[in-house]
Amino acid sequence: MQQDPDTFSEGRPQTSHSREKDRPTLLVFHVNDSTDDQVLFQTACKTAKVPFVWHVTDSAEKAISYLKTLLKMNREHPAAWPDLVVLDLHMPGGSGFEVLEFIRSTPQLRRLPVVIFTGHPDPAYVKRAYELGANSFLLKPIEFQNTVNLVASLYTTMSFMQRPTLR
Amino acid sequence: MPVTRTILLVEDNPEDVLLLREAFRRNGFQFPLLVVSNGEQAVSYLKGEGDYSDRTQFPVPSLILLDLKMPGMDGFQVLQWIRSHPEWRCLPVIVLTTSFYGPDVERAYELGANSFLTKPVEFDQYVASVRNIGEFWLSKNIMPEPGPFIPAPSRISKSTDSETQDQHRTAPEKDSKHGNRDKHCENGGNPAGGKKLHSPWP
Repeated sequence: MQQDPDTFSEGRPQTSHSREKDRPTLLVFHVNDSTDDQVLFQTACKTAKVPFVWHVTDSAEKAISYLKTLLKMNREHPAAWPDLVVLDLHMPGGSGFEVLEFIRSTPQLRRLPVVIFTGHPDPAYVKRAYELGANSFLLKPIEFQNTVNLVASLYTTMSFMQRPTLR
Repeated sequence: MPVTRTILLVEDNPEDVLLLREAFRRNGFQFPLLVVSNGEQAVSYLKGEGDYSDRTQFPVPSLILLDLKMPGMDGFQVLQWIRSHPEWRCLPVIVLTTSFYGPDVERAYELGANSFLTKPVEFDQYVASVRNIGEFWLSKNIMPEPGPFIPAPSRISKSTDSETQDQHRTAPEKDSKHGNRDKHCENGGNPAGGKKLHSPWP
C-alpha cells in the first residue's frame, strides 16, 4: 500500500533479510512520538540482528487512521498487515490506550498482538493496559544493551507464539 | 528473575505435567509451579474455594499456562471465565497446547489469550519455548499485580521527562506477596477516577 512519507518510515532495509534466511521477517507497527525512541529500537534490532521491519507513526490519531486504511485495503494488500503493534503510551493528542481500545473494539483487528513499550512503569498503567487487552507490557530500558536484549527476546517470543490470522 | 511468581498450570495429562516440570528443571527455573487437572479446578483455585482456600498453600498465580482440550470445562471456557470476571481480567494467560489448528488459535486470541504456544515435538525445542516463558513473560514483561483486581482505570496525562526518569529509576520489582497486591488495590490503580471500563473480550 502507499504510505505517507511524512508519516511512516520503514526501519530496516530489505536486503538484511538475506542474512537471516531461516528467520522470518516480522512487520512491526510502532506508534511513538519520540524520534529518539524510533531510532533506538531500530538500531537495537540491527545490533541484535532480529528481522523486524518497522512501520512508524508518531501519534495515536495517525495510528488509528493508518489502521482504518488497512481495513479498507484488507483484501488487496494482506501483506501490509502488521504482525505486531508496539505502542507508546504518552503522546501528544492521544494516548496509546486509545489505539489499544480501537484495536480491541474492531472485529478485524481485535486479535492483533499489541505490546505496550513505555518508560512509565506506573502499576495503574500496567493494569489499564492489560484490562484493555494488551498482550504484554514492556518497560523501556535505560541501557542500550538492555534494549538490544529486549528486542531480541521480543522477536523470540513472536517466533514461538502462534499468530492470529487477521481478516 | 523473581522467584516468587507462582505459575498455575491447567493440564489434564500427567505426562505433559512431567514434561513441563522437566523443562523447568533444565532451564533452572525456581518459579513455584502449581497444577490443576481440569477447568473446574482452575476456577475453584482462582476463587480460592474448597480445597484451594488456603492462599499460603495455593497463592494467587501471576501467570496461567492453559491447556485447551480437557474433559468437562475446557481451556476456552476457562479463558472466557477469566476474562469475563473483572477481578481476574488482567491475569496473563498463555495457551500451552499441542494444537496448531487455526480456528483454535483464532478463538483463543478472540477470548483474550496473551499468547498461544504450540508444544514443539522436539524436546529441546520445547525446553527452549519454556525458557522463553521464563525470560520474556516472567522476567522482561511487566506483569500486573496478582489479582484479584479492582477495575478502575482512567485517562493519563503527558508527564515531563524528569517525571519519566524518576519513575523509571524507582520502578519496584513487584513480588507476588499479598501485601503489594492489597496496597495496589487500595487505590484501585485509578490515578484520576472516572471512566467505566468494559471488557474488550466477548
